Amino acid sequence: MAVIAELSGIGLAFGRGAERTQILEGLDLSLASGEFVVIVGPSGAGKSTLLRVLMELVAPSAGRVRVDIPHQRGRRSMALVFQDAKLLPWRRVSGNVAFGLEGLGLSHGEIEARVKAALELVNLSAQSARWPHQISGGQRQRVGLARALAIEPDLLLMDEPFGALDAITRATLQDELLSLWRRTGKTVLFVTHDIDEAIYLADRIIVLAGSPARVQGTFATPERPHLRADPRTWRLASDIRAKLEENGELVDFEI
Amino acid sequence: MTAERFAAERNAVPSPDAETFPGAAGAGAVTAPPADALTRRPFLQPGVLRSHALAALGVALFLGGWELAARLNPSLSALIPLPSQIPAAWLGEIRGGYWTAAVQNSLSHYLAGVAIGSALGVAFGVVCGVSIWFDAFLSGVVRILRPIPGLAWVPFAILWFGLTSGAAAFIIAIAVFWINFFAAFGAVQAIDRDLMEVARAFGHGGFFGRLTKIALPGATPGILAGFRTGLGQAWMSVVAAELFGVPGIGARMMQAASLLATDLVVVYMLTMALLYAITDIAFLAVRRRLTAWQS
Repeated sequence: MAVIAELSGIGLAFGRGAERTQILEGLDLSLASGEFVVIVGPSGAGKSTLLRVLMELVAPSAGRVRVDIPHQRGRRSMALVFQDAKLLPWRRVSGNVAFGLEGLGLSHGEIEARVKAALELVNLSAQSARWPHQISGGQRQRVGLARALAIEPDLLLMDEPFGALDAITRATLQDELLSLWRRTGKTVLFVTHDIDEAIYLADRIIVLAGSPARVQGTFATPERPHLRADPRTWRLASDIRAKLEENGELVDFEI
Repeated sequence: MTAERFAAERNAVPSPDAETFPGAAGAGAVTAPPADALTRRPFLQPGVLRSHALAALGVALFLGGWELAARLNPSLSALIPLPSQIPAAWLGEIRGGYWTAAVQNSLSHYLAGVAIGSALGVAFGVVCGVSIWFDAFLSGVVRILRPIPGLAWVPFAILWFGLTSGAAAFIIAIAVFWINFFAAFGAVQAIDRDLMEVARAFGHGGFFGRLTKIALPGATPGILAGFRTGLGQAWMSVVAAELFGVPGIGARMMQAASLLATDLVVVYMLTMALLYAITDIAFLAVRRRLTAWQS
């Protein structure tokens, strides 16, 4: 499979002098087309920052970012799904989904068709005229996903998108995401601090930990579905936990 | 898939929530309040109709008390008119054509001043809120000009515009400008910073994108709150701006006061209250449309 994004030797520091904090150091990562990669690590390990480096929202202090994704009107075909959805409260659901399509030179009819298709993908067609405050947290996260899918990205970056949801909604959305991924063949880079979620979703898991954060290990998952009851999944979770504990991370994970 | 997963995985392990919050899952752990408790009004809180009636009663008592006090003290008659004299005085002003001319003049000053002052105030406030460079560039000028009251500009208004409507509109515009400037600036600053990142992630990270896609729509409630304050403040400035001779309600009030025609002064005070009420009602109708997403 072709590599569509590659980070090599990425370092990132904020502040100057005594205030300088190194967030990421010597970080290598490559993403192959169609892959579902999950980065797992403790909160504050720089996982979200890594996504922002890939999105070119944050410039790294060291290293090289190579993204082999074409531009469309000066924008790369990548989309970010935010933690807590981050919808624009003054736009209806359909307006939020259309947000990334504006300024791409699409006709009004094309935008409408793509918004409709994206809302159908996430089963929210009936809510298109609602305001964000009128829908549930899970639905808001689906709108965030539809907003990203509407631009038909080659690479979908997801920043702990289900972290704030209840367990049932989270499990439902995980299944919907996997089903969408299978249907669309998008490359997905998903960030989470939940080992269970990482194993359930990923083809490949990258453990990011330490201060400054580095890649501590890469784990391939067995064939799908990755059920928790499967002994291979159990062993994998145990290995990931051991890797995090090697780096002094207190892992709160039940087997 | 989800159902199977839950049957296979979640049922096998006792839910940590069940242990942590034993009361949450227990039958009857949370008792619903009686149905009427949700609809019953707290003690002493009036209904809508009753509050209108109370407001009317308050006005009637105020006017009655005023009338009584003025009649019992004839020495006050030169200082304060009787409320019962007001309708006749008002009618006389309308018949003489003075009222219509004064209102037309003042409205033209008011509308021009509010439009120019608000538009410039909102524009500068929003741009300063979006661009830290522009904010830093203007911060010194703002510090110098902000403390200068609108009336301090009267000499320049007369020098630049003469005793014309332009001078009055200028004074009003200055008063309204600062209210709108700070309201718009504060409203943009209060927008969730993460939404600016959303704009950048979806290709609207340039100045124009952030301005039109995030700052203006997101700051609309705050901008409108400032605009509403400006609408009220502008009526105060109308009087001040016309005191130096530009024809209008303020000038007519000064003429009446110099002739001790206190009933006419009250007529124009009430006229301003009426005009403010009309502009405020019109404003509220517009605001409801623009901020429907907040309801």
